[in-house]
Amino acid sequence: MESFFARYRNVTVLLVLLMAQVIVLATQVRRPGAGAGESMSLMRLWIVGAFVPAEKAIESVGSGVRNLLKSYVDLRGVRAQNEDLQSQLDRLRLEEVSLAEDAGQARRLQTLLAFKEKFISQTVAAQVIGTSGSEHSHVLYIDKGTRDSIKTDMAVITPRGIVGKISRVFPDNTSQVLEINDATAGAGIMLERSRLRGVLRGTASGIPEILHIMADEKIVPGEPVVSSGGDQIYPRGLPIGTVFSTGPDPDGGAFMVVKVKPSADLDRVEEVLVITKVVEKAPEQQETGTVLRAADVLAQRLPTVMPKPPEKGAQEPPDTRFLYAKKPGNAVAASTGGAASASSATSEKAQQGATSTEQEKPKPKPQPPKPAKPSENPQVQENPQ
Amino acid sequence: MATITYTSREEIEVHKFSVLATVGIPLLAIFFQAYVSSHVAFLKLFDIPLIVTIFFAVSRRNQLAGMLTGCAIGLIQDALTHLPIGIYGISKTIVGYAASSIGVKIDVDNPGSRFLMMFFFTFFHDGVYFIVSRHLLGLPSDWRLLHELSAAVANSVLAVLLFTLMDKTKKR
Repeated sequence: MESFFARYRNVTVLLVLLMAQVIVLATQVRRPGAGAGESMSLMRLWIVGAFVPAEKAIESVGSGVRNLLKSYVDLRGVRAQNEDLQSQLDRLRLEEVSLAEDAGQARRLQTLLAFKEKFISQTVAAQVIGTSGSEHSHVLYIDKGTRDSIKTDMAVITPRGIVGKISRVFPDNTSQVLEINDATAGAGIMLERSRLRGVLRGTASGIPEILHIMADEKIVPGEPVVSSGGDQIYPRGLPIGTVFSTGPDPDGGAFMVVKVKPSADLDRVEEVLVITKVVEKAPEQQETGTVLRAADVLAQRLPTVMPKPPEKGAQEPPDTRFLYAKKPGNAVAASTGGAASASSATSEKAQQGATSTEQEKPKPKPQPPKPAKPSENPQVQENPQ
Repeated sequence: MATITYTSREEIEVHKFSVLATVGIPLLAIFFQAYVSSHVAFLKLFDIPLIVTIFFAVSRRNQLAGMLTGCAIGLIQDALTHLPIGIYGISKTIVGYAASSIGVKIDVDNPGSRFLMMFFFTFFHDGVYFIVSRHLLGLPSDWRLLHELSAAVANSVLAVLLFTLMDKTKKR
């Protein structure tokens, strides 16, 4: 027996080592249905703790040198860049006005439908200090941890899009981020144009795919993909990426393979934001005390026929709506007609604000009928009755 | 008249390393792999800790030392990932054992044989990793033949260069 072990000593040691590691692996594999609170192994804690300070030190020195060089390079083209940015700012201001109008409309509609939205209320900026160094594990290490109220499953983003989620938090101000393109990562998504919902899953190749999209759906490459909020990790509406390619299921199934190119440059992320607080609230309605009816919202969405300008010398016909409206039983008809003509009021928020205020004041003397302007809401004049 | 000589197993040189080199080179390799690949993405294609494992295994020509070195390097690599600890550990233990076994039998100081050896072991290492992660643990992973072949070529080229550098740490 002794000679057997002496002869096969190395092979025995190899088998013992392999067995020991298999046992260690077996103790780490989480059984399906186990709780979410995963305890961290002491070994992982020690090794990460040993590597992170060196990475932090080199990163801080490196970023200092990089910033110095970058500052010099930036200064060289700053004037041209400034002019460019100024023109960009002007353009964005115009876009903002238009978007604010759309947002206001969306808010009103959401209120009507009692939607609840999730808003990012607090973020923590963090620096990327390292990776796993393995192509099998798409994780990043950031320089923020428990001291900064970082917890597992918090979303990590950049201004360009979602990076991933916090998978582990270490006590020494370090956290591990599981990138969205890792084979074990996933997210609830929605295609922005087609409004299709699905599940995004990372792959071994690092190109995420959308699962469970039927093969007969029409999805074109370039379509933006945003978070749906259904996974309870990523707030709704954050950009994830764009559809990179679509193709048939290689297994011949009923679903198609939709590959997504992440918006955030996951291979070169340097700074990230960790969403530490998300509040859920119903969007506030801007109009004071006005309860919009479904008919009003519908009216705002209907197309408008602009009235012709009165010809010179021609007598304007009286506006019969007010005459009909004064008669009992015709109020509904007047209201509907008025609502239809008020559709253009959507584009004039200020006018609507005035409308709300006027609604509450009873008018002592009825005004003589005037020709209806496209921006006016006839409902204003009906309500005092 | 030409004389043909044969190198017996006893004549094959067994190299030794200082403690600093034994501990420092693997740690430096792992650190480099983890830190630099956060800035240079294509570095993830290389597996510098694997190159170091094979270098120490074939230089010492000791199966026990080879597998222990591979085991330690692999476990540290595992700890830096989010995956269970032991996948790299098992892969590199087996590679360390196999490389030290081969080191006893062939000339591993020749750049050509180093290239071929590294090519084979990268492929072998990735195969073991795939089997452990996919079939033992049920983790989602794919076997991408073209990718594995390109990784094997890239690692082999780098290994030829790094082996030359690391040769200087051998004790004569």
